Amino acid sequence: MAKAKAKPKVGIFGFTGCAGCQLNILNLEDHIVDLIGLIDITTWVMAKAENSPGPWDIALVEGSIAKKSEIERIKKIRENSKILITIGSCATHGGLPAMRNLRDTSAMKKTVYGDTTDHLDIMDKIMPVSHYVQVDAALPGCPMDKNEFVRAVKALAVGKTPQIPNFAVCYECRIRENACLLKEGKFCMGPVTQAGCDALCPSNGAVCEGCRGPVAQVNWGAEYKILQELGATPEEIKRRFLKYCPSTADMEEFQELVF
Amino acid sequence: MQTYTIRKDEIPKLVEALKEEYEVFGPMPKRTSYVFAPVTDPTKMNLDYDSTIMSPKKYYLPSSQTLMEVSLKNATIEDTVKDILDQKPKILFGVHSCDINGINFLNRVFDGKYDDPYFQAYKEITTVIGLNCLEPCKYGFCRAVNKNFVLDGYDLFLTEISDTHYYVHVGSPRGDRILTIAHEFFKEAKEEDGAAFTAALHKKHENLPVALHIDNIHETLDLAWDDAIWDELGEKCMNCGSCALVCPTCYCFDVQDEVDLSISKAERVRKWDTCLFYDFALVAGNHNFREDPPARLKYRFYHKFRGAIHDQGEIACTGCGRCIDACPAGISIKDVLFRLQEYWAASPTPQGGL
Repeated sequence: MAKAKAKPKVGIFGFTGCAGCQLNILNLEDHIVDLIGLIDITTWVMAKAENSPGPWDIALVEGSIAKKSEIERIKKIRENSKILITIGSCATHGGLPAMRNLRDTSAMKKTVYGDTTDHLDIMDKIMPVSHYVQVDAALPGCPMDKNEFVRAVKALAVGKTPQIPNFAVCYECRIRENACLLKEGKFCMGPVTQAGCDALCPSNGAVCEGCRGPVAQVNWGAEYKILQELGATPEEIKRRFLKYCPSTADMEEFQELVF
Repeated sequence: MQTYTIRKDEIPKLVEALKEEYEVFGPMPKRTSYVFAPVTDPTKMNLDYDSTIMSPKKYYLPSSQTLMEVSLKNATIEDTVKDILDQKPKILFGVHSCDINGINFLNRVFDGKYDDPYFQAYKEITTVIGLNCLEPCKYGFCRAVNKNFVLDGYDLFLTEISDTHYYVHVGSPRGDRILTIAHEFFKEAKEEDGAAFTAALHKKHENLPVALHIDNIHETLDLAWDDAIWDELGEKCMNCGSCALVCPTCYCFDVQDEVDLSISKAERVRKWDTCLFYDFALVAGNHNFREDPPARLKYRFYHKFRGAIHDQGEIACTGCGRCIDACPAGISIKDVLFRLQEYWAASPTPQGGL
C-alpha cells in the first residue's frame, strides 16, 4: 500500500448549547479507536489537556452563537480551518437555546439576574453558526446522530463531502414499518423534518419533534393544515415549527404562514 | 388439477412443521397494524389481517441491500448473489392477491425488462402461500384494477370455504414440495369442497366493490395533463415518499458506495429511493428534471398509470390501498382515480350511433 497520507487535523469546539453532541462523540465507544486512526484531534477542550491553537483541516462546531464574544471566536476558527462542519441543531439551526428569540430578553434577564445585568454578554437573537461564517456541511439533530457522525468522518477522511439525507423522516419511519403517528392524531413533525436519525422517536411511539430541522423544499403549509385539522392551535403549531429551528422563521415559505 | 383442504386450526402446526426446512414469514401484529415478519409464534400469525404496513416487496427488494463487497487490500470484488442463494429458503405465508400481483409486477421489471440477479436469487429461495380475500380491506380497491385474483405467482393458494377450512390450490412444484413434507395436514378436496369454493368466489364478488373503472386511464391522463387536480394535490403533498415506500410495485433504488472505518473495505449498497425526493432527478451540473415538488407527485401518477403500461405492459398499481393508509396528508389514489374517471365521463361524446 502507498504510504499513508498525514491524518487531517481536527478541532472540536463548543459554543452555546448543552455540550451533548461533544459528549456523543466521546460516547462512540465502538468506533472511537478507529476514528482516532483516521483523524488527528489536535484541539478538543472537553477531552484533552493540551490543545493546539490551530490551524485545522476540519473544524467541528457545536452550539449556537449567543454572545458577542462568540462571533469573534467563530470567525477566528473559520479563518483557521479548511472545512467547517456544524454538529447538532444548536450550531446548525439555533437549537433549543434560541427559543429565547421568541421571548422578551430583557424580562428574562431580570427574572434570572434581578437588576444587575450589565455584565451579561447576551445578544437579543441567538443565531446558528451559518449566520456568521460559511458552513461547509451540517450534521443536524439534538443531539447529532452518532452513526451519521461516523459516516461523515469516513467521507472526509477519503476526501468526499458527507452525504446528508435530503428527504423527510417519513422515509426511515416507513422503512421501519411504523404506522403513521399523524394518522393516529398525534402532532408529528416527521414530514417536514430532515431524515438521518433512523426515525428514532416515532419508532418508539413518540412524535418527531423536528430536531433535525426542515427538510429540503419543506411544505410548511401542508403540515400546518394537518396539525390544525388534528386540533393544534396556530400558536402551538408555531412553537412546534420553531422549537429547534428558530432560524427557519426567516424562510420565505415560513413567512407565508399566518399564525 | 388436484386440490386440497386444510383445517384452519392446523395452520400453526403446519407452520411449525415447515420451519425445519424454511424460514416462515407472515402477517404478525405490530401495535395498531400488521407487518410481514418472521412467524416466531405461529399462534400470533393472523390470516384474517386487513393489510400490512409494507408489502412483501421487501423480501425481493430489501430497503437496503449490499450488492458487492470490495476489498481494497486484496483488490477483489465479490457480489452477494451467492449469499442470497445460501440463505435458508423462505415461505411468505398468507399473501393477498394484490401483493402476489405486486411481486409479479416486480418480476416484469427485474426478470424481464432488466436482468437483476439479486431479485432473481430472492425469487429462487422464496415460496409464496397466497390467500384469497373474500372481504374488502379498509383502503383497497383491487377489483377496480383487476388485481383481486391471481393467475400465477403463487406456489399454494388458500381460499376460506368455511369457518374451519381453507381450500388449497397448488401453483408450482415448490407448492408440491410443501404438500410432500407436510402431507398430514392436507386432505384431497371432495366434490362438496369444490362447491364450497365456488360459493366462496360468489361471496367475494358480492363483497368487493368495483365502482371505479380505469380502462381509459392512459388517455384520461393525457386529457388531464393541465387539470387543476395536480396543483391541488401538489399543495397537500409534502413529498415524504411514504406512498412509494409502502407501494408493492414501486421499485426505484439509489446506489451508494460506503467505505468502512479502516478504509480497507467498501460496500456497494442499494437503497430504496422515490421519485418524490429532490435528489431523484438531480443530475450532473446540478440540473433537476423535476425541480418543483408538485411536478414529482404528478410524475408518480403518470408513471404508475401511463408510463408503466409502456414499460411493463400494465399499470403499476395493485389497488392494495397502502399508500392511502400511509399518506400523512390524506391524499387518496382512489379519490384521484375517481376524479379522473369523472373527467373522462365529462368529455363530450357524440349522441346516437353505436
